[in-house]
Amino acid sequence: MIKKLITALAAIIITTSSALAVDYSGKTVTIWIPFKAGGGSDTWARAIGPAFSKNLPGNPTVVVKNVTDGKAIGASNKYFAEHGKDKDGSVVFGTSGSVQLPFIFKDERVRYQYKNMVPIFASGTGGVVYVRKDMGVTDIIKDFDKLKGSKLVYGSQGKTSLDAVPILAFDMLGLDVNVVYGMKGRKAGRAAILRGETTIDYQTTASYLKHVKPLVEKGEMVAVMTWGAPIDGKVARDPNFPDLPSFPEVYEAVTGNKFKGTEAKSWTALFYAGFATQKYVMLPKSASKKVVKAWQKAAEAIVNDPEAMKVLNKKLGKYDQVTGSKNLKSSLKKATSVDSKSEKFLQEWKNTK
Amino acid sequence: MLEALFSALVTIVSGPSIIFLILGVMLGLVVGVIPGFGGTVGLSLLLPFVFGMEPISGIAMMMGLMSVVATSDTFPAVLIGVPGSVSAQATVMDGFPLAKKGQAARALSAAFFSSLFGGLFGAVLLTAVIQIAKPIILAFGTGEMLMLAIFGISVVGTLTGSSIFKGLVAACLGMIIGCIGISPASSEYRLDFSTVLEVQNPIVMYLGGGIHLMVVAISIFAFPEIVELLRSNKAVSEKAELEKSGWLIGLKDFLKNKFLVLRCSFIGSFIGLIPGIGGSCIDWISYSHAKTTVKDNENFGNGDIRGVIGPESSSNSKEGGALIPTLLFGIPGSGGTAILMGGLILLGVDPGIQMVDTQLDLIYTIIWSLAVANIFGAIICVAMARPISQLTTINFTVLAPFLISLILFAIFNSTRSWGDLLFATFIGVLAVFMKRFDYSRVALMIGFVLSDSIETYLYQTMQFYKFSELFTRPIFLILILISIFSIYSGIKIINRKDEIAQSKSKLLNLKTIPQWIFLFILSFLGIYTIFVTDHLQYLGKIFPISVGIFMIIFCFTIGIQMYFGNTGAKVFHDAENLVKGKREIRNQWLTIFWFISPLFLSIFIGFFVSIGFFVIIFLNKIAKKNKVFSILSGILVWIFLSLISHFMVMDFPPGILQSYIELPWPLS
Repeated sequence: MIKKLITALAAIIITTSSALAVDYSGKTVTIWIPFKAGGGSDTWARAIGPAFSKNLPGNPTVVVKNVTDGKAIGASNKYFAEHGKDKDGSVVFGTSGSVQLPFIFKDERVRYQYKNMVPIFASGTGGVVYVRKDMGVTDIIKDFDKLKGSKLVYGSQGKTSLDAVPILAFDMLGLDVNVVYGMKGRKAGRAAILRGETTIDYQTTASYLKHVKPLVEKGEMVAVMTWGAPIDGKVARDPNFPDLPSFPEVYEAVTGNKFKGTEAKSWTALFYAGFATQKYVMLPKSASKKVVKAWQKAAEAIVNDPEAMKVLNKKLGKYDQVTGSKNLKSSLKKATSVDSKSEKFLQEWKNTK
Repeated sequence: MLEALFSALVTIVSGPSIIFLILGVMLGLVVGVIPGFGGTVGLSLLLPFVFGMEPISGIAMMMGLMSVVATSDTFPAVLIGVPGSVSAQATVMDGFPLAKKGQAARALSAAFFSSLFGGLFGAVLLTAVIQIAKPIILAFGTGEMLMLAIFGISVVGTLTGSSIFKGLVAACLGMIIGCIGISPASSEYRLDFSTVLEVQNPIVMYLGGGIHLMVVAISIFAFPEIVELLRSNKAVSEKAELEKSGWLIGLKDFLKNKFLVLRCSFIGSFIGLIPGIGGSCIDWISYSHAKTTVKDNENFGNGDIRGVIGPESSSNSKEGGALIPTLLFGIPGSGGTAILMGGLILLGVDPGIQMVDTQLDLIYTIIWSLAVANIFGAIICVAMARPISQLTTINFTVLAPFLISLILFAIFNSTRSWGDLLFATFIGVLAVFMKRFDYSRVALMIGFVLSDSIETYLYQTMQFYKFSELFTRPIFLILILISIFSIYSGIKIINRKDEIAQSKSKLLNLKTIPQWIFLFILSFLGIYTIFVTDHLQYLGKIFPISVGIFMIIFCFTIGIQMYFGNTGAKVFHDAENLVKGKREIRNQWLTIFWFISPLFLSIFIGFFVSIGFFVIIFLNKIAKKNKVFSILSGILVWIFLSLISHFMVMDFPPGILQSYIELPWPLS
């Protein structure tokens, strides 16, 4: 009995240490998701999981592991504590805007460093701002004074959450928005504007298309602008909504200033972290070169797989999935690094009302 | 419309979807029976399998699972006094005492019939309302939600023990526990010990995430019950068999209380329909409703069948209600429907207003799945009742190690953190003393569940509405009236209890020191809360500080009553004095020690290894079972845990041993 156990033990130890050539056949690969099951990141991971399984060498079983110990920050810290020095890439990390933003805002609980990660695959999304019809605004640029004169109420989850993007945007446009905190997610924000308690709101692209577009068509709500989409390194008009101006466009039109400077830079960093390249699959930096290559190749294959892309587009809207180490590195840099001036600005902004 | 309704029925009962539905029902029943696993966990386990399925079959399977969890969670609630999922919390109150009296079958039977009726009621209501529900949901603004939450708190009076101030202190404590974590309005961390410890300390990190509902629910109810049963060293039920006549009596009970069933079903569906209040307090509200509206309610809490019928009717009917906002707005009305929605999206079905216009057939499929699953669930539960109920006739000391393992596992599964286990131990020990000194644990639970809603909605209501504006909203006013009525009837019930208590002999309250110590600890918690939240922003501290102040005032009132009252006064209560002198009773601290010993062991050898050894040692040393039986049982527990660990992609907390030696799965 004991003899058998020892041989089994030895066999396990040998097989785990001999994974030098990248071949995951018969193995299980885990995507570590620091969010609970059923949420946006979880659904995303479960959508790309099978695609990675199909395209990684040896077709491993890909499972999603939801870690919620200490919420997003705690669970991300835990990943790096437990797998930060892994070489074999059998446990990869799936991030989201809620992991990036505390990092940008220098939350003191954050122990992860983006420079210790190698991005493999990234998915982005966009967001659409809309207002209630009774405000009388149809074109945000032409009717800007009307918008400015209206009673603006926005239901928010908190200033250092993804809502930093809209709240800073409103500030930059000089809109006097009464921000009411304590909303449980964007869904609660949408419910509040439906009830007429708030008057301005935004939703991510997928949720906008599903839930708000029918209301816009019925004439209950009016879409006014998008956050934009990253095109050629700039925040340009969102191709999903060619008729709506992007926030930088609106900013330039109504303020007369160029979309430049510390405020604009800070907003852009938040936008990249929270929307443009929001969800990343990452390996720890310690992963062997071969492993990184194998994963990158699988990511490329997914982008070229129409079946997998259909699912992803449905979940996140039609946005580019970023692959290739150069693109990924530059987008990750945009999403997670802010220059010292912007950093100072964001710290101060965070603490104002 | 009728045609569409029937074609949907044909779709669901013919072809492969019925098999998936039944499969879902079976899974749901299992998930419901295991404490700590509710519909939310069950559905999230199902999600990966649903992905890629044919939509109708996938929907059938998810609905099957979701619909019956609240049926089978009655088993552990009645039989061992541990709620199988959050929706059976209130069932424990009277179901468990009934089982102790040897009327488990009666309680189960009445519960299953009520559940079945509630489930079907929800389905019918969903059908009727789906096309006209929009104005109802939109009429519930934050002001109305706030009043609903306040109404929830107002039932504390009717559910609390002999002293209303003790109930209020407990409710305040629940709200303080609810304040732990990120504040809703100012996004600050509260009560996480970050004022005394370094922010990256594991304790601070854990508390920063907030306390999970299941951690509190299990530890506060199950822990004291198990400690008590262990001390008395007997079987849960003194009678050996499930009484045969019980089934018929249960059915008769159900029929006799048909109006109560109907009212509670309505309460369940209606509150379920309003997103944001949370399904976890529905059963308490209907329990309190049952208690206040029936005649001769003195026996509530000691085994009144109506205390089972009420919450059970509402626990299944709420799913129908919760589906309405989910399907109509894509805004889930409960934890279960939130995951269901994720699953629907995976299947390519987008819940939302457009569904009513374009995919009405799918909506009907969902409704039929709900109804059919409820029927299957009830039938299977009745059929399985006998074997499952055998558990209660085993001497509890033998059952205890398994139950303790299961509970520790269920608690750990909440956020899969060491902190869950430690916090649950803290709450559990507290609950043992709350029970001993008659501080209502239900009140704590309600305070905890509603804490976040009250704070959030209070703050939002103040921002959204002017004071005068609120009083022009009819629903708001109606809810105020209902709350006032609820408080009034609570006071009436307590007064009646006083009379009964006084007519009974004065209890032997010889020692009052332990009660004083406990009161001081509670006051200290109130003071501590004020002290450590004072540095936060106004929006972050106003709620916990107010609650803390109230808590101190209530503690002070109890103190005055205790100081000036004689030892026979109702404010004094120490269950310990009642059991003194009975020889077979085990020591209280020793049983608490046994309960937490596997945790101490885990620190050194890891959770997985320690649980197995705990079972073996306990069975051998305490339950005096022979070695073979003990070791086999330990191995069985290990196999069970490995299977779960494998299927749920779950790691158990490692100990010091694991940090020195690398061990293979699952020992790691």
